[in-house]
Amino acid sequence: MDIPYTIEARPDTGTYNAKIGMWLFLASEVMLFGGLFSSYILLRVGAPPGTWPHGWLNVPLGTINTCLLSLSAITTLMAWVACKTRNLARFKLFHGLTLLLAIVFLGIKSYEYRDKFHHYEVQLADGRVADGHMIENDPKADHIVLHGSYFKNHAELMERHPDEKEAELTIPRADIKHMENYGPWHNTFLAIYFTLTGLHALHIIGGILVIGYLWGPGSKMWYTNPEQFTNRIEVSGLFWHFVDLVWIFLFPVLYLM
Amino acid sequence: MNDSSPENFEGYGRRCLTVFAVVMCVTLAMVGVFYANLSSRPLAIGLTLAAAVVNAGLVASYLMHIISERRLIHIVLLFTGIFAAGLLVLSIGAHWSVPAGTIH
Repeated sequence: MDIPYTIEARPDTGTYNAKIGMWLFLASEVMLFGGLFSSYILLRVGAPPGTWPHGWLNVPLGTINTCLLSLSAITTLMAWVACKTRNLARFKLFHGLTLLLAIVFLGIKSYEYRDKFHHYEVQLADGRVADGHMIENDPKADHIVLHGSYFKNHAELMERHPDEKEAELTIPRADIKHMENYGPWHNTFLAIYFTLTGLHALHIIGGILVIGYLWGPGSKMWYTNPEQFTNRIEVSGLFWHFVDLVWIFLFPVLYLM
Repeated sequence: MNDSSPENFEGYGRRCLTVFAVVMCVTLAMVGVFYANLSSRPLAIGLTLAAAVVNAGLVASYLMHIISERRLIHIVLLFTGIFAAGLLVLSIGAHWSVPAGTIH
């Protein structure tokens, strides 16, 4: 049985079915991310003054990831153009590049996550706060070692500057009142950061699976039905551009504001 | 984009690269605003959000081809936009209707 309107346009919609389906799916995705962005706004606007962190994320890495994702949006378009001009070798090259860029994006993101799990805020008995990356945390030792800096109080920690000087800090365990890493449980900002970027990363993984399939085993369709294959590339490209679009908002909202 | 001759797509490829270059410039400008550490935080937020909207508009219009899409897809997107905006307005509205006695 043939599935209708995989290539030719449906008379009432003016386009093929998969494209309409993808746009409806993207509409539901807008609502999903819209709900989370609304939560972010509500949490941020509702946070008492001086309690919302600024400058906590690695801006150079976020900028590199923005460049990678924007470039992958171009390579996925070039792959579609290669299909349109009936050039399979070019398609393989550009779609392969898209895959590579997506994997590098995920690699950088996982490095950032790892960095947060190694980053600790240590509240000291004298009211000061030590903040930095854990170097030594042997439960048997009477001290810990951090690479970071001291802050007068918790409020000072909310406003980070890129030019802060860091040093190796040896802190006796007896002086520690409370210690916690920068996981999603640490505060509201990190909770929404992990939720938004985690959901986005899941979309990247989904995109990698689809693009990888179309680049590898799925490309067999090229030899039997190149028109339908080209439409599949267009539809998967639409999803990929949406993933790029979400990041275009996530980067400034989480890293820069 | 129905004519699949290579000449037709050559211009299209150049347009995509131009969009990419503009998106990169706007992104770098956003990062510049962050490092400039403007004294007015609302101004910095406003500039950053405006830049993000420009980037998103370029990607949606040219790379997702919304500019040349069918009317039906424009209608779907219009409704999506209305509902998404409603969601944001409801959230912001909720901020102004906190029950009396709530402690932060």
